[in-house]
Amino acid sequence: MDTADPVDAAQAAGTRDAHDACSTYASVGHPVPRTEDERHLHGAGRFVADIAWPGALHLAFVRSTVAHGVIRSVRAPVLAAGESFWTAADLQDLARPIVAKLNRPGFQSAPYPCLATDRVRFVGQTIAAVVASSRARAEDLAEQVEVDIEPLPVIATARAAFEADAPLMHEGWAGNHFMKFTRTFGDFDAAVARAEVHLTRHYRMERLAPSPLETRGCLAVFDRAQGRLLFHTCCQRPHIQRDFLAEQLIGIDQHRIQVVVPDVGGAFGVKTNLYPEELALAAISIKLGTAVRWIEDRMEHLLSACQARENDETVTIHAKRDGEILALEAEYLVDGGAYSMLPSTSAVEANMSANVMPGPYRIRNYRATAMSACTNKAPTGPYRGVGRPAACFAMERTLDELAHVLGIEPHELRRRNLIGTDAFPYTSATGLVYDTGNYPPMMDTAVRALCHDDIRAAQQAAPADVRERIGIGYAWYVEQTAHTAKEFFARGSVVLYGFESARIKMDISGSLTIETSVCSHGQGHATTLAQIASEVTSIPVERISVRAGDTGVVPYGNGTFASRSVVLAGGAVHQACGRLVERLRAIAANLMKTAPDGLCVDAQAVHGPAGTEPLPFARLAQVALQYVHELPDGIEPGLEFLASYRPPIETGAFSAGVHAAKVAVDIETGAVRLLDYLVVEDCGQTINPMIVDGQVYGGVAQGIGQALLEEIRYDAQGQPGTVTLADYLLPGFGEVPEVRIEHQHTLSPFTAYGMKGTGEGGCIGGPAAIGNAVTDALRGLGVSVTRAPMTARDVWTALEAARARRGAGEGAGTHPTEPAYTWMPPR
Amino acid sequence: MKPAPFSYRRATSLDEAVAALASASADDDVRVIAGGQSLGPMLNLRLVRPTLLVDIHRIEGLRTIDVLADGGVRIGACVTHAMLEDLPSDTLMPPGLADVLRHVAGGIAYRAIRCRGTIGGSLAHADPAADWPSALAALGATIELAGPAGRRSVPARTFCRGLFDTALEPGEILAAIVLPGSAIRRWGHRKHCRKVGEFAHALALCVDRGGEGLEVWLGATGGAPVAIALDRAVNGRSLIDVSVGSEAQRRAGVRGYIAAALSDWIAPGDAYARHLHAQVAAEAVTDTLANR
Repeated sequence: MDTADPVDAAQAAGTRDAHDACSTYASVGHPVPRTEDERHLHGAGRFVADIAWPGALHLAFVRSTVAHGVIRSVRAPVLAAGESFWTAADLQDLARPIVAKLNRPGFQSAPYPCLATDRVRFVGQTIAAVVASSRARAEDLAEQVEVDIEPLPVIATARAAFEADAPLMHEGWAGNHFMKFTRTFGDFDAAVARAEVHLTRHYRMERLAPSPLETRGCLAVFDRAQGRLLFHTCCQRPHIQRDFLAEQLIGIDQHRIQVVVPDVGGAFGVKTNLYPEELALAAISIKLGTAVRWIEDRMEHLLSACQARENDETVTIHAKRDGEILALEAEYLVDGGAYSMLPSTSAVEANMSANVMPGPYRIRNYRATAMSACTNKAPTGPYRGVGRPAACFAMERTLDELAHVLGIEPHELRRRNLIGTDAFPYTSATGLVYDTGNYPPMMDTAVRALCHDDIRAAQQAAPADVRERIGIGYAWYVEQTAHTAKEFFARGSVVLYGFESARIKMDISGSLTIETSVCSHGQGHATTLAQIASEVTSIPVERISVRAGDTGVVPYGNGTFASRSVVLAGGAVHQACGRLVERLRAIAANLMKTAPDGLCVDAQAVHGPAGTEPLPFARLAQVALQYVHELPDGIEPGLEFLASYRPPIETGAFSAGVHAAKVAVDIETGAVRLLDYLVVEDCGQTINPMIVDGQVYGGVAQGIGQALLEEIRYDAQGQPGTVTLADYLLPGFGEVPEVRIEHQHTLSPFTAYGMKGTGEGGCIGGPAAIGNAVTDALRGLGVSVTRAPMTARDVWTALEAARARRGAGEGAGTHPTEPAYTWMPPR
Repeated sequence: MKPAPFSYRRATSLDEAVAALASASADDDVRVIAGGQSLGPMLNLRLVRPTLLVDIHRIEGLRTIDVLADGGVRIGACVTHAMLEDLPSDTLMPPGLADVLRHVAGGIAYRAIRCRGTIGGSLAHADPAADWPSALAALGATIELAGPAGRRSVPARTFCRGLFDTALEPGEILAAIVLPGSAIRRWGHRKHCRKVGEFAHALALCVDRGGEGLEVWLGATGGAPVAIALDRAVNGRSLIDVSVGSEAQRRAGVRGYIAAALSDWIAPGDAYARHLHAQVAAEAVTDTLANR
């Protein structure tokens, strides 16, 4: 195959609606089995906790049991030789407190200390640390530590943070908010004045714990002889983590810090942050001059790792009677917890929700308010989907309400408002630039594949007293992926994630090693990136290895988050491999005594004019690496190529999806059962469609979790009620049906092969699609969903209230925009 | 999440285990461990802090299922849920019994837990949300206890007294469960969980052996299992009176009948929880009545 970029040809063809099995490429677009799977299926993966380090000590934290208070005293346990006890005073000369900032007007930041100094602000905050020879011994010592805390009044909800008598959470703040703003886009007031229907609804998405299978954990090894810190951790961004550690640790220069990330068992955003625990561990390791390990347990995770969502939403749609949306108004009130996580801050959820709310719809007039409250709960931050599941829930639920009021099928109402295929590139009201999209056919596919009309007929035919009522619901989202520095700058981010890197090394046998700056936590990069390299070079995937997660090995880059790795690291691999092929052709041309232009690369060899013998890569590598006297003039020896890929546009490649759910609601128990779940997704050219499907399956499971089960609960005193997985319910195989996926491929004009990212989409649509389906099932009974999770208790309680209202003779509302639904009140 | 320090003794016979309990000093807090599926997490969370653990799960004599001369069945305390779930189809147990045991056992938690968790451990632990306390009461089981003074038997219906509270005296070990030999004519078992494998929020078993005194046993009540007699009139109406009409109407009738008989101490003030207990019990009863 010629190495002339095949992207142009494929993109000239425009949207390819064919299923990915019909890839026009040799490797890209094929469901290559994951090279990672063998070791994981054999239990041979190596995670942080698997790293044996002789003599490593174990650290356990003493955590606050009080939500808000002043520390009066901390009394040390009785230590044996080799054991140590640490408080804030011991760390003040070793590490600076973490301060997360956002370059946006009115953003308020506050120090988040490694160990609490004078005040604790949530249950689970680290107060002290104990180091001993085993985790069990460290826990024995930790429970001997006596902490005297004088309680302060507790702020347990976002609304309470804004009450007049609320205690001020952080010194010097002007109110208990990380950030709050209102922005208006377009000719909002005029559009509202023109509207014929005004519909306001309130929703709540509860607080979640991202819950990767592998909790946080690190092994810090300070090598006194070398003066170097070797920091093994499970994170998503090794270089960024090293930047943060160098910034926070006092007295160690960055070149002496190496971050090593082995296999990571899931992250979902929770492992993008620098945590006080990690910083404390690094500082203590340096001070002790030895290896110290902290492996988080599940209770610690549910108490203190980054939580997410807890988003109260008020939405008003202003529309014409034919369903055209003229203006949209949204207010997001997020309970951000006690501290901002570094670097995304507690404002990330509300700000993202406000920014992405218009989604796939042609909405030009928009007013958004985003408020991030500071409360006595665990800090919140990025979790897969960030802000979008809540925005999608609010938008899509309200669209179904509007459709009901106007007497239009929900999918038809959506079709009337979708951005037209000819409108791309499309700049949203909030300034997001959608590169390409082809939305209307996706709606058609969803309606057809779900068998919408058959379900409607079955609903009509069902007897009035049927126990399980059937409902269907849709939810749309667009997903900004692979956006880079300028986009993050515009959001006020202090860290700007501008590029990803890849170093390609061909060895003398002609096989390849890729060193990449992105860091897989389950995504299958070792397969995907190898497929791209294989596509460019013709080297089979099994002859390509991928190394990642070691700042001592891989080139600088920003890591894996925000659905960026395939586009940005894939782009870097694509570029670097192109350079490798260019050099191989130059070497071959010299040996063949011909010009490089006519040479093509196929089957691990360079092919010359007809009748000449092809030159295998191994022969060319021999020249480049050993027989350098055969190199042509002006060609350097060596076969290592570094590419740092910064995309030609920084606003990202926009994927999109529709989720469609069919549910059965048991009106006698309130239980919701998923009968069918369909995803229509478009992420451009897929590199490995099986991996894309895997991303969708996993995301959908998380969406189902937040739709039906997951909910971090705190009481009025800020005491958490969900500290084990017996209380915090995660979906399992019994709760996740077989997900059906329909693919569409609308290529990005800006990326290699036209690919787009797809990491987060799967988890965005679940609460909205399921909420719409449950509401659809219960329409005739006067119940609509306003809260996620929609528990059996909620549904039954709302049904009972509706029954009582009917019994009291209250009919349906008379005003067309205010039907007499029972809202499930936020608990 | 590591347990506080404790001593550990592994017993190879029931007598040795009883002796180990007897030899503990007055200061010792002794716990018996079998499959460890409830006690293990409680140890790790330091919710219990025994000074001595006596492990009985290797005692071969406690891992057998025997059909007795009178047709009854004796199940050793360390028989796992999975062993009951997997009861062979050619079992010599009285008709219907193996079906009930398989059904109840197969609905407990997840297979991994069922492979280690034991029927005796679950019963002795007496978590109200567990399946066996109410199920064995409904099945009319007798519980065999071994202690320093020898063996004694307690009816399952009085064995669990409340939250984590049983008839076990200090020094006693639950040795076996004996089930009566009479045939089960029809039965119904239901439970409500928010997700598969979760502890139940309501569960009920109704067993009809064709004799007098039909009752449904409710678990997950927060306390001891509760029996509701089905052979008497509630608010002037019998079970026959309320079981009329369509399937939904019959279920609603039985639900009302059970709700009226539900003890006041079960989930007071929680309309949903009380409804769910009545609902699940009504389903178990209507299932039983439908199985002709």
